[in-house]
Amino acid sequence: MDLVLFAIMAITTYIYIKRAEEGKKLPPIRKIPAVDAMEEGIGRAVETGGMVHFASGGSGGRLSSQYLGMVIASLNCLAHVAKLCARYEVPLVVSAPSRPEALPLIEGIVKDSYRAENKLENFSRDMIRFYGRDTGAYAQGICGTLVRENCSCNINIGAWHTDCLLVLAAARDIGAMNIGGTGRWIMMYAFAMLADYCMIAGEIYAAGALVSGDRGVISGLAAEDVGKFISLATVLLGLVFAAISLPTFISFIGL
Amino acid sequence: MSATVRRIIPTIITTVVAILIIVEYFLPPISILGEIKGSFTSWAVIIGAFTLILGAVYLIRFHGLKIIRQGLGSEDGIFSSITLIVLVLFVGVGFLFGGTGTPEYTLIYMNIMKPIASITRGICFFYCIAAAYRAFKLDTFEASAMLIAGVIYSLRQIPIGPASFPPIEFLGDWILTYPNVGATRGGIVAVAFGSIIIALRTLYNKESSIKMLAEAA
Repeated sequence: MDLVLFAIMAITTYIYIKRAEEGKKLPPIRKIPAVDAMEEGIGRAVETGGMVHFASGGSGGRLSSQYLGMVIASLNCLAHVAKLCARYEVPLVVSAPSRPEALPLIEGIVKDSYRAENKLENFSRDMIRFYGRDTGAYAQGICGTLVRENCSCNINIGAWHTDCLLVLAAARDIGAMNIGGTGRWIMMYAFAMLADYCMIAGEIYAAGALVSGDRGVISGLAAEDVGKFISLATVLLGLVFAAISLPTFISFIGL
Repeated sequence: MSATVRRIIPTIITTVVAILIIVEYFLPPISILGEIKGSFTSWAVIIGAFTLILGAVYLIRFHGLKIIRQGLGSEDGIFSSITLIVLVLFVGVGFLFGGTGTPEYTLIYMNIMKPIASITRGICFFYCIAAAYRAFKLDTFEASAMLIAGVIYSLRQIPIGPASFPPIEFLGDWILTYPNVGATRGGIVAVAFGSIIIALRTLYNKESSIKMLAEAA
């Protein structure tokens, strides 16, 4: 069953990428308020003279395990935020994750975003901060940076642990706009309670695709929905067959 | 090396590694594939260790420059110098006494890091209460639902709840077992599909951030 579902997803994704590349129509994609809020938050930083802070979470740099998807989604968002900051000449601080496997990628993306906006002279390695491998140190380091450097907009997208609670609360306390989300279900409560614009569950992946502006990437969202519909159909079928007692079918689909 | 080669070689490596890992997962156990996967995992750990060194370089550079620019007597200079001293202390004790499991390392860890980490976790409690107060205001339907569910489950958890109103135990358990599990599974499925699609886009070399780096190279 796993292999069949994976094959369906792989084929569907490929078909939608091809459709996007051929310029064919893609299904409509709803707007995510948090994506629009990024530009609003950066505009607010221009007005207030504060800085924009981006962090992808303590595990937001891990290039293995289930966090990889969140890391790539956060890197897409980072590229978007860095381009906007370069365009509007707003100071940007990027907190490197406490698990820093993606640190070279983070530096490369920020630098290339500044280059893409012809503002490479404004890029500095001091924009990227590392606070150590401990998540406690990571959260405290970010809180200190937010307060000392007058943060106006705090964007937290990625693989967050309990550290997000401290960071979001500290940003809120100093009056910064909080935008963020995580794919880690257990920490979504913190974003729901503390973020001004929150992304729930799979929305961080959708945000990562939307901000890229690349039709090939955005087409993946349609393929993702196909998978969700299959899951939903399987659940409904399971319910029906469970009600009429078909144990063989139920064991086949793994319920 | 041309830009094309620099773009193509990483793509080929990514695709080959991804296919091997996928095949290893779906096929019945084959020892050679298991060994290859194990090697890749070890490489990831080694790369992770190197990036930690890079992180330390960033940290030393940032705080070193801060001390040089603002002077050791300034507020920032004092904090930066404390950071660097503690960094040198931990690394030094680790190297001199033979790792992080020694009594000397444990001593400084338990007396410096542990209390600070405990304070951080303690602060989380107060932030949670303050955040819950703001989130559970009866101003929207969603906030009201969260408030009602939260109050019922909190009462179920404390002894006075079931003692004064026995059905609260059933209600609390029902909220935890049904609406909570249902919503959690929905969220987890959404996240899982998001991850699969990102992995497939990377496999097809269509992921924008990875493409951006490759093109810049």
